Amino acid sequence: MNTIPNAIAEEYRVERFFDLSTDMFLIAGFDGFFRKVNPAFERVMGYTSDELRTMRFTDLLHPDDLADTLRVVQEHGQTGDAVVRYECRFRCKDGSYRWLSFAATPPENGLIYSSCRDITEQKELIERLRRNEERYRQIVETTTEGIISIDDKGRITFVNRRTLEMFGYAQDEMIGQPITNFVQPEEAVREKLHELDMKKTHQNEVCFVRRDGSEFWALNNSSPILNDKGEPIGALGLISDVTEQRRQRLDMQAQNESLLRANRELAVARRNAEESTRLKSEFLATMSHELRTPLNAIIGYTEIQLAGMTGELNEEQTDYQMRTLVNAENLLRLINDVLDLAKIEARRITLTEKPFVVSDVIKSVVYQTKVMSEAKLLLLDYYIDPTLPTSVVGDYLRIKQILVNLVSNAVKFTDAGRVDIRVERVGDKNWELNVTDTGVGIPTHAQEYIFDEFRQVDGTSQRRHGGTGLGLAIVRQLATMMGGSVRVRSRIGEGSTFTINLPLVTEIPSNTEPVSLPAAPNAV
Amino acid sequence: VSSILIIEDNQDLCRIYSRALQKIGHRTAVATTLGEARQHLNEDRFDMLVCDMNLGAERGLDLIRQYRHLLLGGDMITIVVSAEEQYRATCEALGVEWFLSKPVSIMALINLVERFTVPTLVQVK
Repeated sequence: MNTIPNAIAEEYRVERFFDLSTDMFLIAGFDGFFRKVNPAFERVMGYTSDELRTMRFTDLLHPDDLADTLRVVQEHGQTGDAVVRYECRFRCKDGSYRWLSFAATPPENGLIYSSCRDITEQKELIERLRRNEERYRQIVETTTEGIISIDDKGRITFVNRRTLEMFGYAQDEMIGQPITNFVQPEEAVREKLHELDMKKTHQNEVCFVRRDGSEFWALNNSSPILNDKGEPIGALGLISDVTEQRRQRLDMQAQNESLLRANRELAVARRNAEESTRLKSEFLATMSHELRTPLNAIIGYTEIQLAGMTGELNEEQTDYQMRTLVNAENLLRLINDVLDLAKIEARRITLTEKPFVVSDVIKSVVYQTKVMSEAKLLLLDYYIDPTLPTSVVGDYLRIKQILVNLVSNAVKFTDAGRVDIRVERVGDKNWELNVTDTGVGIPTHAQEYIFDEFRQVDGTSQRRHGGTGLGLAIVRQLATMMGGSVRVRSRIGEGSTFTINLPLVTEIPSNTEPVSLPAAPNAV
Repeated sequence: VSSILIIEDNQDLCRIYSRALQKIGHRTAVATTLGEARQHLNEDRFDMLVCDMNLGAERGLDLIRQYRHLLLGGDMITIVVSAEEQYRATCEALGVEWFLSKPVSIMALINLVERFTVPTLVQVK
């Protein structure tokens, strides 16, 4: 009798724990039917004990977990281990499943004693973590940038797949190695990598060495890895291969530098050239003035004596004064020619394009050269094409200079006959000035070079006829400046024709009126 | 008889122009600098100016510009000597109509001067 109350008392005490526990307890028969569950089990699963007693353990198991669970339970029965632990999903009354972690005794007297805990939330958390990690792993592994993390000693703790591709190493060849093993040492010194503070975020270019010894440049974005307390425990580097960009950048820099250098040199050269041109121009201006001034005085004094203003001259005095005048004028012409050519070549001459009356220029040329031609008893005549506009646009002074040069030449090289100036229209866009003589003519070979400076047909002709040998050079230069050209047609003994072809311009967009020539020096 | 001011920095040319113009009966004064020229122009009245453009460091154009009221008003005929092409238009705008280049032909100078001073022979412009 004593034992019974004790046994009852004992069961009662156990029952109390059974009811109180927040862990779930259940006792199942070997047939699989629930025999007894505690309130915690009822609470979690939503079934009452009575309902459960009509169900089998396997009725509530998730179909996916059924096979595994049965296997574990059966094996347990055979091994006879004290406790077996397994996890499986049970269906609640509301149809949802919950993960339960079981600790069960081996079957004893046809019964299995189990305690279990609801680990659903834990499982979900783990799953969430797993998914997160998977997501991050995917990002890390599929990114086009290499990712390397190092610890506070500079040893590699992680590399992603892209990094391995970049370096050509296997993962285990990199992990644990000092990062410096993979950096080109000289470039590291040059880039002052040792001065970089790994504890700060920074960006730099690093020259890495691949497994095969080749090198590549990478842009490295480095940021510190911090522990819970915010202390740096390593660094994370994102690296991208910038070898090509760097090469292009350096090439461009080099090109820029060489361009800048070339520009500087050009600027210096231009300054020098400008200075030299300025000096040349100044020299020309000075020379032009200095050379002419005394000659002007000589010519002036000679003229007033010849004009009888200083008293009557005898025949010999008159003759000598005439010779002085002619020589002085020749010298002046020579100086003018040399300076003119120099000015043209120094680009100091600018053309003054204005409308002018063609016949005015021709008459003025004839007037100026008539004395010469009459002295040689040559006929000097002109013809102006009536289809040519009365007035054309151009630099009449320079056109006159060209014609005076050509007519003077013609007279000089013609002993008998005539010199003709013909002005003709050539189509709608050009006009031509022809100077034809009946003189000695020019040999074919000489026609090629008579427009060159200091060239006449030959040296003897220069001595015989005088002149500077610059006249035709000036003519060609001026004609070219006007957008025209010069040519010669000649045969020995049959005379020559010099032709200046000029663009025909009749209007300029301005209100300039056609001008008459100012009074020619010898006019009136 | 006209009164003519010759402005020319070369004394030889001053003498030559002066002699020639006096010889045909005119009264002349010479100035070799702009300062002298201004002095003459402020003290006397001239019918005509013969002015060289290049007076050493000075420019005849400055004088022309200063006395343009006389030129434009027709009170004084001006012959400009040795005007470079680029200054001709400016001279014309200032009332100068007559230009001579160096070497100045004495006969040309005389002819030109007589054009204005002998109205019976040539109509004054």
